[in-house]
Amino acid sequence: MMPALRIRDLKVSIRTDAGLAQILDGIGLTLQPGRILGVVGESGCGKSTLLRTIMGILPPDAQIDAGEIMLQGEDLLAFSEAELNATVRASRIGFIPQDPYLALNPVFTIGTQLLEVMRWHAPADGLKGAARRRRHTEKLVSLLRRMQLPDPEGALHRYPHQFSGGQRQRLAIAAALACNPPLVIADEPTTALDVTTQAQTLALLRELTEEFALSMLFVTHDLGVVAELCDDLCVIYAGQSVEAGSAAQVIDSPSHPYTRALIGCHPDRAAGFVGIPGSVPSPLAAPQGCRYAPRCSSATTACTRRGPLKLGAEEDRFINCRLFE
Amino acid sequence: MEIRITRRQTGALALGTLLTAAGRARAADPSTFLNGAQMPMNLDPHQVFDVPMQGVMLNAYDNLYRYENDPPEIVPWLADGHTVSDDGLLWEFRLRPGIRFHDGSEMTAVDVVYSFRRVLGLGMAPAGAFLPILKPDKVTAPEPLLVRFQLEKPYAPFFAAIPIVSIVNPRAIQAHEQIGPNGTDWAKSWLASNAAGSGAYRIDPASYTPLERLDMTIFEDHFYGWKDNPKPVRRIAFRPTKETSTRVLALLNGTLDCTDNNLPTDQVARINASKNAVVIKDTNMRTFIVRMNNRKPPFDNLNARRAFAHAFNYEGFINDILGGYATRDPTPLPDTLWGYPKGAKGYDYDLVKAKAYFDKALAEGAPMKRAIEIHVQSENEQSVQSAQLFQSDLASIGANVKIIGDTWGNMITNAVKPETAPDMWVHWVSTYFVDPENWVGQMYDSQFHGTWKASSYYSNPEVDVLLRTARGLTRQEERAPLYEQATRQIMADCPDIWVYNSMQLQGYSRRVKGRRFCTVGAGAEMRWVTLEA
Amino acid sequence: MTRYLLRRLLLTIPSLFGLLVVTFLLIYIVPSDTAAAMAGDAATPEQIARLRHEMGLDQSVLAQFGLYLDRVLHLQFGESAFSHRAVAVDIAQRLPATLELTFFALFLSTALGIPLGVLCAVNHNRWPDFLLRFFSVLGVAVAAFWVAIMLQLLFSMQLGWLPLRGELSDEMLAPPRMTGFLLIDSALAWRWDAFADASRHLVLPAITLALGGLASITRFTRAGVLETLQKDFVLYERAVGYRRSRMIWIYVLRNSVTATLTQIGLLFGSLIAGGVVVEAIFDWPGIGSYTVQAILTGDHQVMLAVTLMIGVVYAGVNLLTDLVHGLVDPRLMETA
Ligand SMILES: Nc1ncnc2c1ncn2[C@@H]1O[C@H](COP(=O)(O)OP(=O)(O)OP(=O)(O)O)[C@@H](O)[C@H]1O
Ligand SMILES: [Mg+2]
Repeated sequence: MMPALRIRDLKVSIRTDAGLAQILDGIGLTLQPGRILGVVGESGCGKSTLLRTIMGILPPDAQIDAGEIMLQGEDLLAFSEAELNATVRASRIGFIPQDPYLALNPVFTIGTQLLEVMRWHAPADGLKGAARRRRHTEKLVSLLRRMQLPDPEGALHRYPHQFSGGQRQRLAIAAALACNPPLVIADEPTTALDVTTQAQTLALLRELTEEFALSMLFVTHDLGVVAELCDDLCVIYAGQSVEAGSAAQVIDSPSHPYTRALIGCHPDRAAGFVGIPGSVPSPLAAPQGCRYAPRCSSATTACTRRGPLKLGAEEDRFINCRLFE
Repeated sequence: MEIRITRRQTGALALGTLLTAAGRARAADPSTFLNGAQMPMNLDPHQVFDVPMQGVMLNAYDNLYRYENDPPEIVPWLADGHTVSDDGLLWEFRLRPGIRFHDGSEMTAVDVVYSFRRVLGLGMAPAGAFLPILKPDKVTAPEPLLVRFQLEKPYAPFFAAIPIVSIVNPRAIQAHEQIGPNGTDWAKSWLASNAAGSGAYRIDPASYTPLERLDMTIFEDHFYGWKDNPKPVRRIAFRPTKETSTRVLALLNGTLDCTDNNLPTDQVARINASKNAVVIKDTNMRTFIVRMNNRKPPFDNLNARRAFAHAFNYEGFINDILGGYATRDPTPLPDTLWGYPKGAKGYDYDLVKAKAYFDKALAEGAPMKRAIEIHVQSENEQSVQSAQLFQSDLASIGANVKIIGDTWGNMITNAVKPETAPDMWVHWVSTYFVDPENWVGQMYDSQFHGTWKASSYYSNPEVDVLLRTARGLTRQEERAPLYEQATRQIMADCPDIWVYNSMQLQGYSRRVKGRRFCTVGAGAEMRWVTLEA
Repeated sequence: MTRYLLRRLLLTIPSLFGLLVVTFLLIYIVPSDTAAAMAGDAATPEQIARLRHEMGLDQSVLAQFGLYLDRVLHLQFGESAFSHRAVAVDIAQRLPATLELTFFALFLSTALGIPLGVLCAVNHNRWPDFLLRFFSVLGVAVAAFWVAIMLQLLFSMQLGWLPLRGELSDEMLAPPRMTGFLLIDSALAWRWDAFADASRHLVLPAITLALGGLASITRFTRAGVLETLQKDFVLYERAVGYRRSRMIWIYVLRNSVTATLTQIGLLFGSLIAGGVVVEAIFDWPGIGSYTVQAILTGDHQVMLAVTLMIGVVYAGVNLLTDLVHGLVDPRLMETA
């Protein structure tokens, strides 16, 4: 079956005042249809940049140096901005932001904002003008009801600040689903929430994936969330994919030294907290070859000489490490 | 052939016609004179007496005698003649019969009496010449057309000051008077925005916005009649234009018929080069002087004063700063006035002489090097420039002068005491009435100490005698030699620095014909004017 | 919201009082002598002293202020020392002209300044931005005086398209005075000829007056939009496929205009001040020339009343700005 999303060897750099920063340096991942793929990495490893690259909303001084992003067999990197806007955003990829309080426009009502998206991207069913708007409103209201949002009609006339954090996140999820996209990508949608709300939201997402037959790319730095929600897992370190596989398998028996260290760090798993010595390299002065090598206890000179190798027969299962050559 | 015009072209065409239609120089209305000169602070000729007021009082009001022509002659106006007693104390004026005010009522001596009493009662600017010599109850009407003035003391300039007083219509005013604890208020608030005259033009109070606009229309029944001018201006529209540049542009594009009479010299060439306007140049009687406070050292020293008098660059100021539009007048009197000491030489600009006097004064112990303040009217460019020019020359002979920006009101208030009067200050002396008394009389007779006009605090008993004698005589032939002699003596004593007598520059539309200039009214009397179609 | 506005309204009273105190003191510090000025330059010191007494100028400052306050509370603003007309009447006659000019200028600078500011921001550091910024610096730096004369020379003298001065042609019969606003009165009286004439007179002074404001509104809008463009919701809106132009002109702009709105409120004050020059050059019969004359002659009652009036208008405009603020940004209504 054709993957819902497949990224290969993606390299993105940003021109900064201090020089060229190689933010993404070989990202690869595969999201199979109907599954939830968790993308895990420490803060600053390039998760948001990856999503921005997929959505085509990189900052103007960023450039894509290499790679491909295949959305159901079509390379998004070949799309023009206008094509992306007309055919991909909202309609084929729904987007759930990291912090909906910041992502929603504070001076417009929820209805205005969500209907603005639907106006351009939701199916119109041959309707126009007021009739289309009415149809969209109906659909939106039922969606909000499905999100268990109290008073869905009234919600349309309220402003973002008039909702609680969990409600806002559900509004954002509704926005992502409003135009029936087969794929949803979410950028740490639960980080800003308290534990209970987080659990509810994750449960909701889980339900929705099945109900709407979605594929989902779920970015997080929280392995616990991955364990709870995701089918598959892809670990990123400093802009490089280091290990991928089924969530259960990777978490239970991590192979890559970084993954091992990371899982060792997780308070649920580790008997005692074992920190990783050193710090994440700056994308301005990234080490040659494997970026984890300077911090890796098993590193050899070979690790710094050439890039990490991709192992594994299937694309959605790999360990990028010379130790497993 | 078919001409096809798109919608956009039609739009452009319509816009174009609209704009050109609007902009087409309209044929100026041949009956309305658009006056761009300054307006007076209000419309009451008994409260205000200055150059802008002339435009109101000479047109909307009449006076017993009036100044006409250039040089000015005092001519019978409402009065057809007058007599004066030998002691110069009793003056009688006989009114012409049948004069009508704008409301149709007839003017009698009682109205003249009311007018003079109102001037004295209000005690404002026009009263200055009369207050010391005339009590309100000494103005009487012994006969319907005869007005009698009984002066407190002989005062020859009384007659010269008669044209200051506009005759007003008490029947129009009295209804608006308010009687308070100090007596009547003479309806001064009402007349400030209304009119009660008999003049050649009638004020339309509804058109009046203070300092902004005023319309007057012709008064067909004016006593003087219109036989001198078969095609007079029918309406005068005062549209005072605040900014010089706008005023000049408006004159050039035909939306004004005249500018103010203080046209900057740098505008002259430009206006004269245009085909519809011209600058008219008139010598008036307005002297420019630098005062010295003769009570404050070093100005109590004659040589010190002479040093300063020789240090002013008269020609440079007149030619370079005023563009030559002024005449050098080395005396305190306007050079066109009777009583002027013919051939008087005065002080010239000579820094060598100045330095010599400076050193002499220094040797005599005068504090020549102390910091001296010269006060100027900050908002008046010319007054500032004169002080700056003076300052640099004085610096070169070793005097240390500071320029202090000040206001007219403040300066004349401080000038009334020798202690508070500035070391030096700069001002003009305009024609309040055409008589040497207006200049040397009030400036240098020591009895006027305490008025701003006499603020050099000069005193010379010999000069006092001459001026007082002249003031008491009534015949000009007798008075003239006394003023000449006094002026020469004053010049020798050098109490002040006399610079120039002004020239009035005023831009006029070329369609304006028949204008008559008289220095007292600054050419504001409109009854002689015709507008060419 | 109403309570918020009411509170702002109450707050203006002490500021107006402070304004009065300051003006009163300033007037007494500045060397000008109304009595001397009023008596004219032919007056004797006795005449001046008499006038001083009549006008109460020989009393202590405190006593004079007390008397003045008492009258102001009774809505009596005195009369001009020179025209002897009630200051309230004079102001009522002239204020509409000034407001008409100011509002028109404000409208021009806002209607042009906001789009220009957005253009600058969207083309941040590209040539349209540089060009517009250059002109906006020019707009601030170049004296209104100079601009006015250039406009007069071009449009009135050379092309003859627009009138040089005044608010109505001399031969145009003015519409009956109802509101005092010439355009409104003309329209009410169905006098479209007067309306057209008055509009044409409004153009040059309004443009001149608008220039300074245009520059600052452009700059503030530019800064506001640039700041908003950094916000997360812009990224989100792009990610969910907003049309770029709608996103900028509707969704971003509305978030950015708060600073501009404040600026418009402030601008109103500077426009009234700038109006002094413009009114003088174009002979606009408004408050500006009235005020200048009052200051030059030391006409205290007029100075005080005009200050108070400008204070009130200013407070009113700021209240209006607050109101618009509230309408633009719903969060303000609740927090306040
Ligand atoms: N516009 C930019 N210019 C320069 N550097 C950038 C820019 N955007 C991101 N970066 C850098 O790229 C790296 C990756 O940033 P990114 O936001 O993608 O990380 P992240 O994994 O999403 O982090 P977090 O978990 O904190 O959201 C960081 O080092 C960041 O400093
Ligand atoms: Mg991120």
